[in-house]
Amino acid sequence: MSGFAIEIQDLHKTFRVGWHRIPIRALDGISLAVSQGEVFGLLGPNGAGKTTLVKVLLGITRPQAGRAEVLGLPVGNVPSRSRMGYLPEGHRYPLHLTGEGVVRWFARLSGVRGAQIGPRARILLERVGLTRWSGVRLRKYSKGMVQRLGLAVALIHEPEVLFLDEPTDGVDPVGRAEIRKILQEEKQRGTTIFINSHLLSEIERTCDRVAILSQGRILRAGTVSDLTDRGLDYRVEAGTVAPAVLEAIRANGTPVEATNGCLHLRVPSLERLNACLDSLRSAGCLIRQVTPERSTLEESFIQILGEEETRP
Amino acid sequence: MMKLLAVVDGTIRESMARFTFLAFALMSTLMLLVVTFAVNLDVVDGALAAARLFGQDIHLGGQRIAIDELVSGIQTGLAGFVFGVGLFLSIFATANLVPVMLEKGYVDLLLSKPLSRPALFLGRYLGALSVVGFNLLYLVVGVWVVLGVKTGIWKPGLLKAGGIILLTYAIFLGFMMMVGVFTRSSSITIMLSYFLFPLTLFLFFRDNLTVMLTHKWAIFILDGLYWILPKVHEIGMILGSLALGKPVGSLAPLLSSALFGAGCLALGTLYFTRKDY
Repeated sequence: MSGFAIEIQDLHKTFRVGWHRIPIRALDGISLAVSQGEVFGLLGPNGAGKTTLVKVLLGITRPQAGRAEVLGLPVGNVPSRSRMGYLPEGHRYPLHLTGEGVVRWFARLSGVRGAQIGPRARILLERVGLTRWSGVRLRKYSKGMVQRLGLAVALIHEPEVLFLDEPTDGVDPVGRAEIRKILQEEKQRGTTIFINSHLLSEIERTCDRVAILSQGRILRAGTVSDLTDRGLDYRVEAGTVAPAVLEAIRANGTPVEATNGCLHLRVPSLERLNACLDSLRSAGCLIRQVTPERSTLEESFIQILGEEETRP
Repeated sequence: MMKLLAVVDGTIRESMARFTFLAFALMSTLMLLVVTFAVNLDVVDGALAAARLFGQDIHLGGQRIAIDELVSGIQTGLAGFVFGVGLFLSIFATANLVPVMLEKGYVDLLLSKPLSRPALFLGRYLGALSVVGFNLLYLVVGVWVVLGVKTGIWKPGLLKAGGIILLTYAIFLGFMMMVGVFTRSSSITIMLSYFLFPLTLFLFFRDNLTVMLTHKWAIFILDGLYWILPKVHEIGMILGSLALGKPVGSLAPLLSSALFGAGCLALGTLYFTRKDY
């Protein structure tokens, strides 16, 4: 197990809830690998098992079966946690402390040495835009400010792997852009970043690879392009096309729609695409651009979940 | 070790931020000020010649009161007061330490740190014990010094009683930590802790009840509960003897109670260590 910051094999976790100990399967045989320095996004509906997976990786929850390693060490290993940072969803910090007090206290808990704590805390508070608020008690902070403080806490010990659960939750658009910038800086520093989020547009902008999780299983994993690629759907810019030409293409078994000077073609193969283009050219159409059509990550996400639900 | 100290420090700061501990510290200060400035004792030949409270003479009724007896009396009275009221306040103020730590979003953060769960749990325990210990030290040592300076009598009874009070709180804190980690509820922790006082008193007088019981198993259960649970009443008697400077008959009730506290703490730690959050 090397080269990967996170490696998971056939991980299972079932919770038992209520008086009758009803089993709820949170993780159902998950296998996954995240390379070092990669920004990885985990998507899924509520209750999919995203937070459980992160908690297993941090040793907060224990799996019933399977194997998981972070930085080559088994999960739950206490010293390895000094190399991981975590921003949980709905985090709570002691309200009687100031922003700087919180960062300093968690630095001590993370094992940062005394002389380094002050300078690091000040730099991080500046990075997350909270310098002016560093001496103010937390009860005066807005939700977005607490979220940015949480990011500073997660980064105070310069972790090699960073787990972020809904990092932009409650943050305004400017704050989100700042958080994205910090994550990019961390990526350049070589930090592996694992993000759980419902905000698909954020994931789309930030992550190198993503996985879609539902009912404790990974439905699809790959780059954002892999997930949003619609296969052999093409958009052809060819100006005005005579209805007879379109009918001829349809007659060959290729669905085609014309909207605003663009044709949307769904072809079974590249050969058929070229045949369609030949038909257009022979009819005198000037082709300006041919581009493969992509879904948004949100469309792909909904489609993949829909396919899963309809599966017998 | 540094991380454990950080947990202890965090717990102390969290406790100090609460109004209850502020009130506790204010009460202690008030008591110290009263003993320092409001109580005036004139000692002649080892006996109390005159006493004034807030500048008003206290009539001694012509009795000769030996000053060392008076000091013992004051120390015992204070020890009894702190044993009752101080414990009551301390339990109230620290009952939510574990439930607060286990709140979603906070426990996750703490458990993600490179710190073992037993160290986190014990750090919390030591933090609460330290806060109560500081308060107790402040009041007990303060009163002891003031009385010593005023009377020239330096009896160690109050200091020993202070140690017993802290030990009793440590026993209850172990129980509160266990209840807190099992129930995650401050109110249940407070209720069960307070319930131990009348229950253990009832068990102390169980002999009066067992003569009326016909079932052996009922007697067995009562005896078993008596031996398992802390013996608050007997600890109170030990405290009184120590404060008065009298010999203590047996320390067995104190030791078995300490065992109960340690057992509760161990059980709580074990549960916290194995539980998924």
